[in-house]
Parts: sequence; C-alpha cells; structure tokens
Amino acid sequence: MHPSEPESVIDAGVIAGLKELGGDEDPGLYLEVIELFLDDAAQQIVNLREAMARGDTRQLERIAHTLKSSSANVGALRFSKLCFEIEQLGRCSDLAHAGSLVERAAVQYDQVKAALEAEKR
Amino acid sequence: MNENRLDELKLTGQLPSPTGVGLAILELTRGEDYAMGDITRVIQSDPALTGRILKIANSAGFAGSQPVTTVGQAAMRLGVRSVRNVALGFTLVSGNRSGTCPGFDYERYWADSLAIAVMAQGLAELLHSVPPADAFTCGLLSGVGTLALASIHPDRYAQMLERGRRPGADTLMILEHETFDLDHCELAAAMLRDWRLPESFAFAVATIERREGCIDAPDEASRRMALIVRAARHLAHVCLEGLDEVHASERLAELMNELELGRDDLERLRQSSREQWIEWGRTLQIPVDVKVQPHEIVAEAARHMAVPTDTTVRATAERKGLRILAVDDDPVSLRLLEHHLTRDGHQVMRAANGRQALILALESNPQMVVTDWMMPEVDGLELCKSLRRSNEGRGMYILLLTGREDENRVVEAFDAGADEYVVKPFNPKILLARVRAGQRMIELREQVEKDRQIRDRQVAEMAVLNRKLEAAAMTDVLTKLPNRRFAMRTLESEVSAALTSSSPLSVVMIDIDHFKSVNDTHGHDMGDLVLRETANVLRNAVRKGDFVCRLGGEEFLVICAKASLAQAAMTAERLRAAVEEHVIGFGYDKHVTVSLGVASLACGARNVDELIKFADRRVYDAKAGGRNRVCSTDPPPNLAKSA
Repeated sequence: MHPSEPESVIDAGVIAGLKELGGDEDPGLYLEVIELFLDDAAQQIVNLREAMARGDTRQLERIAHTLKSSSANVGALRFSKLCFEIEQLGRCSDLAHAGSLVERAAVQYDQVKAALEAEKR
Repeated sequence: MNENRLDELKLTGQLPSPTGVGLAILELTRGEDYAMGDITRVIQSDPALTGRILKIANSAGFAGSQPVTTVGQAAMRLGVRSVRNVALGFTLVSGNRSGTCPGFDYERYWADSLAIAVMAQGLAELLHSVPPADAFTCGLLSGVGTLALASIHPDRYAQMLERGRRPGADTLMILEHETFDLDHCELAAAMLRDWRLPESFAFAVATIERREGCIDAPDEASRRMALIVRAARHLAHVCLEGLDEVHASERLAELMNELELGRDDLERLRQSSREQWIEWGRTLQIPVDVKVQPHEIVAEAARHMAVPTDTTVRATAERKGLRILAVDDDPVSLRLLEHHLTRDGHQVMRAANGRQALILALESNPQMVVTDWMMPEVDGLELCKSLRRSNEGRGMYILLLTGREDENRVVEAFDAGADEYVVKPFNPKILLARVRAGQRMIELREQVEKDRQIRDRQVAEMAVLNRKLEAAAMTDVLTKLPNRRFAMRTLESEVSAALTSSSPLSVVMIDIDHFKSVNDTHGHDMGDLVLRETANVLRNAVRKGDFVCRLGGEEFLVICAKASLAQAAMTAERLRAAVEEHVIGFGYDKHVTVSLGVASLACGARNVDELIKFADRRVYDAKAGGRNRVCSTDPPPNLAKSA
C-alpha cells in the first residue's frame, strides 16, 4: 500500500474511496475535503518556510507531521512522503537537508493543487 | 433495610412465611454465597417440592433439550438462585392454603397467583428478557401483600373487603391505606426483600398496580420484571379468569404494545398459559376455574395493537448515539473523523486544537472525546491530563488517535488518563468498533450512577415505610389510639423512670359500661362505632402529656406521667363526665358511660403488673358500685392514717 516512490501526483484509489465515502447521503464530502486540504496546506507551506527561516526544528517537525496525514487523506502520496522526510529531519534537527526538501514540497504542492483542481471539474 | 420494622409485624406471628423446607432454605441462604449442594439436598428431602422444581426446569422455555431428572440438574439449568427462589415460593403456597379472614377467598387467591405465575413465565419465554423461572416465582408471590394483611388483621381486612364490594367504593389500595396506613404492594415488597428475593421482584410487586410504565426502575432487570409481572396480571385476569376488568381490551393492547408483542404472540400465550394453569392447578391441588375465553375482548385488543404479527426475532433496543467531541488540528482528518462518527449515529462536536477542545468539553460535557495526539500548544496528552483534573472531565471516555511512530509511547497516554487508542491512519471500521466498545463502558458507568441515585431514593422511601410499619405495629387499627404493645412499653419505661427519680406516676383504667350488650343488641358495626367515639372523647379530654391507649376489647388505659393519685383521680372524673355528656346516636340516642379505676405508684405498686392490677380492682369496684363512676386505690395504711 505504501510504494517507495508513488508514481502519480494523486492516487486514483484514494480519490475513488473519498467519493464513495460521502455516498448518496453526503455527495459534497469529497469536494469539501479537497477544499479543506488545499486551503490548509497553502497556509502550512508558508508556516514551513517561516519555521525554516527561524530555525525552529520542533515546529518544522510538527507542521510536517500534520501535512503528512492530511495529504495522505486526499491521495497526495508523493507529497505526503516528502512531509514524512521533513518530519524526520525536523526531529533530528537536520536543518541543512530540510531546506531543500521544503522547497521541493512547495513545488509538489502546486502540482497537487493543479491535479485536485482538475478532479473538482 | 426494614427487617427490624417488619419484625414488628412478624411478632404478631400472623405474617405468611416459609415453613419447613422453605425455612431451611431461607436459613441456608441468608448469606450471599451458598453452595448448590446444600440447597439441592434440602429440596430433595421434600419429594413434592422436588417434583415441582423439575416441572419448572422442564417447562416450555427449554423445549427440545434433554429432560431434567434431578434437582442438581435443575439447578444447573435454571441457576441455583432461581431454584432457591422458586422453591421458596412453593413452600409459601403449601403453608398458607387457608386462614381465618372470613371475607378472603384463599383458594381463589392462590388460583389467581398461579394464573399470574404461568402468564409471567410464558411472557418471559417469549421475550427472553428475564429467566422464566424467576418470572414464575415473582408472579406467584405478586399478591402476597393481600394475603399478609388478611392474615394479620383477619376481621378488619374482611370488613374492608366488604366495604370495597359496595358500589362506588374506593380501590383496594385506597381502602388499605385508610385502614392500615400501608398497602399490600409496599408490604409485599418488604416481605420479598425480607426473604432475600431479588430486588427486581420487590420492585415488580411494589409497582404491579400502576397504570404507567416503570421509568423509575432501579435497574434494567427490575424494569423488565415489572413490565412482565404487571402485564401477566392483567392477561391472567382477562384471558384465564375472565374477570371484568376496566377497559380490558384497551389495556391489553397497551400492555402488549409496551412489550412489543404481536397478535400471534397473544394467541399463543393464551393457549399455552391456559394448559399450564390447569396443569399446575392439578399439581398444587389448587382448583382453577377456566372461564370461557372472552374472544371479543382479545379480538378488540388485537385491533388496537401496533405490532401486527409474530415477532419471534426481536431487534435489540435501538442503539442511541453518543455525544462525542472530535479534536484534530488537521482540518481534513477532523472532517473525515466527523463524517465517520456521524454516520454511525453519533452527535459530533468539533475542535481544531487542544485549547479549544478543553473549553468546549467543559462547556458542553460530551460523553466521549476522540482526539489527535500531536497538536500545537495543548496536545492530546495535555488535553487528557487537563480533563482528568476537572470534575466534568473525570468521567469522560477519552480515545486517543496516535501516529504509528507514537505507538511505543502509548503507556504515557494511558498514564495521562486516556481510556483507549487507535493508530493513525485508522481503519474506520476499527475506530467505530472501539467507539462502540467505549459506549458500552459509558452506558455501564451511567447506569451505575443512575442506580446509585435511585438506591439513595429507595433508602429514603424505605425509611418512611419503616416508620409506617413501626407506627402500624404500635397503633390500634380501629380507634387509631396507641395499642397494648405501646401502652406496656411506655409504662415500663415510665415506671422505671418514676422509681428512679421518686416522681409520682398514676394510671386510669377505663371500661365501657354494658358494652357487651351493645354488641349483642346492635351488632359489631355499632360496637365499633361506640369504641371509636369513646376513643375520640378520651383523646380530647386528657391532659397534654397523658397517653390514652386501647388495651383491647372495651378497655382503655390512660398513663398520667408525673401525676399524683389525686390529680389522676381528677383526670378520671373529667373523662367520666366527658363520656357521659357525649351522645352517640345510632338509630336512637344512646348515652355511653364508663367505669374508671385509678391507681398510683405511691399506693405501693412495685412494678407495672401491680399498678395495672390495682387499677383493675378499682374498675371492678366502680362496676360493683353502680357503674359510671371513678374509684381510686386505697391509699396505703400509713397515708390513710395521716389523711
């Protein structure tokens, strides 16, 4: 279930599961969750960069931890994996390597956003 | 418990109670734990009882299983407690088949009890909500309060029943309260408790006459038993005994709806209980009188019934959702968590972080908190600790969502006060199953709390009942004056107090003149009237602090504490005049008079008996001297000389 390097930006199986989850009772759930993720993640990318600038590794670890699970929920598995790595680096206070990963995550976020926007249409 | 007070009634020696084997069982099972072997041995010593126990164990509820042939097997099948209870019930039947209350039909009483018993058993078999043998026992003893009242006060109860038969009379319960200041339902409950029968039995018999439901039941077992026995009573009266009950069909429909039983159930119940009733009647040698089945009532009831057909498989009571507070700083996870919980029937509140959660939890008092662990500022662990420190949060069920990497820290979570944890990302099915497991804990805890509150209230009610029982044991039923037991107790303590403190103490013995002829000429009703009227006159005419008691028959005693012979003699004269002046009308006006004898400790009486004996002698003198007069004890010789 957790391939070492996820192929696509968004996992189709997770998206299908989300659509199914709302079912007939709550058909808007899927869109609502995507919207929640995109809004929150945008803010969290900003927070990640700020934490980097401050050298606040604890904060870095915590934000990455949250992003890791929320992105996995919408199928952004590659993004999620990046967040997991940032979390680990934050935990062992490795700011040198974390910086480049945060920027990769920001780029990845834009791809995820584009893919999810496409899903919404 | 009210054993001590019930003891007062037991002292009369008239209270129905288990005898022989029943008594042995009662003695054996006084404590909480008793061995199965002991019970079965005692029961086996009585072949008739053994047969009846086997019959219960082999009854319809266990159709298809191997027949039970020994008391030991019966105890295995029914449980040793049920066997004990049912054995106790049977020995009560055999020991109380007849009695002295003229208006009380003992055979019909037991036939009725038996009808309720088989009906209750049948209902229990249909509903699977209480053990059928227990339902049988509880039904069998459901009316034991009336038997008890008839046994303690045979004449009064007969008169009361007579009054109750008149058109427009009050209900039995009201009449009992008027006459005895307690009713058969509360008395029955007290007796069942005294015999160490389950609390559910006591609750069921205490509420059997109620029209309304059993919302105040102390626990689920009591509620179920009460529902069954109450319904069984009505069903037995209407379907087996053909009694003319008020609103029979509507009531029948109401009860069946309450039990969620259908028309087919009712029909089956009617058939099987009819056979059972006849069979048990034969076994116990109680003549049962099966009345023509009132089809129209049952058919009418069927029309009112909500559940149209057989409902053999009964759905368990609909599960009610919990009030849950969901906490996660990740909005996506929080939304999904909310979705899963809501879809499983719960009512969900949301908090986006630990601080918000704490405020919301204390404000809206959820039953369960499902929280993420890793959160900024106040994390899940901190939230647990804070909640456990607060009064409101102490009882909340807390389920912690932990990351895979936190799993080796779960011990910390439990130490912080978490009840359960689920690893993220979670499988929704497992999360919901854990929530349901938590719900069972919560409901159990809430039930315990509710039980405690009801028990507190029961203790208070029991205290009131105790006082009533105590008062009943010390009060003369007819005149409402204190009775002989009270008089003798009071006199004992007054005499010893007076002897210690050398203060005076006198008594006035009073006897109604020509009372026997009133009874003979005008009947006992008039006799009772004269006794009541005279009692009222005496009550109103004595000094404050004097006790007027009815010793029995037409004899009264006034205890004049701290009164000298001369003072008591004046009281006696006042009482004599008051009775003479009071005209009692029955058919024609009649002047009742009394003869009074006064005696004092100062006259040389050394104890209660002598004091009473002196007063009795002076009553005799007053009668001999022409009645309607007061005679005082001769002063002792030394006093006579100086006078």
